[in-house]
Amino acid sequence: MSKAIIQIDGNNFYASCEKMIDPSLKGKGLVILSNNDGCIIARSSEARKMGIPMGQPYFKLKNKLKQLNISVRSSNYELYGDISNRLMQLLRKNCEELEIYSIDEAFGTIKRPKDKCLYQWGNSLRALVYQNIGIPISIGIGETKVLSKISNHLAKKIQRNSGIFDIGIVKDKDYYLQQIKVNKVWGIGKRMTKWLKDKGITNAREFRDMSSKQIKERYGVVGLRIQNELKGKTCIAIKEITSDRKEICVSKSFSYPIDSLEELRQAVSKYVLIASSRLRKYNQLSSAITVFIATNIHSRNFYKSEETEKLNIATSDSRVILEKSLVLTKKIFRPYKKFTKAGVILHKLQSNQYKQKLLFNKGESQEELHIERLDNLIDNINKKYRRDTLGWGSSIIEKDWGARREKLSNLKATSIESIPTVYAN
Amino acid sequence: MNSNNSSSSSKKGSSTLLIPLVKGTVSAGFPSPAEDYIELGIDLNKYLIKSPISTFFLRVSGNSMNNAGIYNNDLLIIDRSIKPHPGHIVVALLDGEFTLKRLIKEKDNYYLKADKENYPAINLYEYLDIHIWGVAIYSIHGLQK
Repeated sequence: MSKAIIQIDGNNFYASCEKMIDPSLKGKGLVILSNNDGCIIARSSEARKMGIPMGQPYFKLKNKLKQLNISVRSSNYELYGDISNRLMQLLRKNCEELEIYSIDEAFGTIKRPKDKCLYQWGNSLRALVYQNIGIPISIGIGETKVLSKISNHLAKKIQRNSGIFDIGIVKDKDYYLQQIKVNKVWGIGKRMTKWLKDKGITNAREFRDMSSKQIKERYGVVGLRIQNELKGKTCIAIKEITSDRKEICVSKSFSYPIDSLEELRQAVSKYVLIASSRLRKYNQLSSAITVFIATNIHSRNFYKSEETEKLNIATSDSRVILEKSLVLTKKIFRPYKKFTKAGVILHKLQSNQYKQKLLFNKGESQEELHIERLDNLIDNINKKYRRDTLGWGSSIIEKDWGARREKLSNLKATSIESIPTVYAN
Repeated sequence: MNSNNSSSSSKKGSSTLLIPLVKGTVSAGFPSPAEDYIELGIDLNKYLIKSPISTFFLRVSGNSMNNAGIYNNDLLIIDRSIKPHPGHIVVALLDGEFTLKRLIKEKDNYYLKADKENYPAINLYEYLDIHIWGVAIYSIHGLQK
């Protein structure tokens, strides 16, 4: 019995979620737009086949999409988050360990009976996910994370395999690794790809067989790890707990440019509240705050600024974080600039359990506990009703500068007003 | 009651009222004999939903399933983990809409049929495009208009 690493992702995940809940989209081309309806960030397989490119600005393709009768949707993160949760819960039940890697991606481990192909296992998991949640997934199986990722590429590439590939039972992997371009190998970025290309290395097989000394000299242990994983030696472990993140970033583009400090403060306040509630959700504390703002990157007088402040005591208290953030906002604000984006980063995160107390903060702990209760209460109310039901003063929103989502389907499984209709006519 | 949590500030003459943080009850008078028997109450989610991962809600529109006890505007609970069998009320994907029908089997043929007279049955072999989305397990019907 050995351990196999599996890598699972949702096929065209956002598009699949929309199709799952909206029957009118069945069999049709569909594209999903980014925040603010800016760019195309996801396509259904039909739209892909019709030649709609990824990442293009929506306005450039508006007419073409209409001609091809392709449906357009704003990103509906409430829906994707809900489907993602269901998917991860189901995967957790069916794997020994599970690392949630992103909204639609996870690594897991399962036991492999000696030299046995896990295709059957994958096939039934795939069927189970489709039956329960209604979305298609691809499964890559291998000895290491890097190999399982490659397996997943192959699962998508080789049609007859219907979304599953197990490279772990392939003794001589050359034939398959040769098909994988080096930039598709997990961990190899643009720069490394170029460096490798200059050395004449273009596919995963060549990378696996190149001199490890050369890799180590240029990319250190990190580069070496990728090569070793390709050789089947485990170097990158499965991380089950996703809450030990080192930072939380909440950042968004506005639906229209903001040039007043007041509106900027509202935006920053809102992001602080989202970020700090996330902090509390994972029982973490932050001890440094960064606020950043930027004007349109394409504008002539592009302006970008950020400012960081350290905290003496790590906290998850919205009030403290809010107060500091607003001071930082004022510092970096410049009049007459049209800001299109702002964000808040909470770093140096630590677990709540090892809360460090300053020696001389007598008497404060009582108040602190009350604030913690108050924050939790606000979180619960917002969870129960809507995100903005309760907030602190500066986050009260008068104008709707939040992201534009004109093409939002407004269908989701998580709020009673938005569930789909079934006809009994 | 744990006095440390509730009245430490009164010694300093402060008028701040602190809320006790310990769990437990304040005993004034006789303790309630039911105290040890208090349960959490009925959780409808637990009672109605066996598999939260695969459960979805839909709103019913129309009256063709009245004989099955499903009425216009009812809240329908679907469990996708259940494999459809003859007799089940199912949500089918037909002509770009969710449609509510009963799945029936007659002489080795499967049909989708409304629970109402004079409604034609749809033979599943003739409509290859039909897809069963889920099986309905409960319909929640409000009695007050």
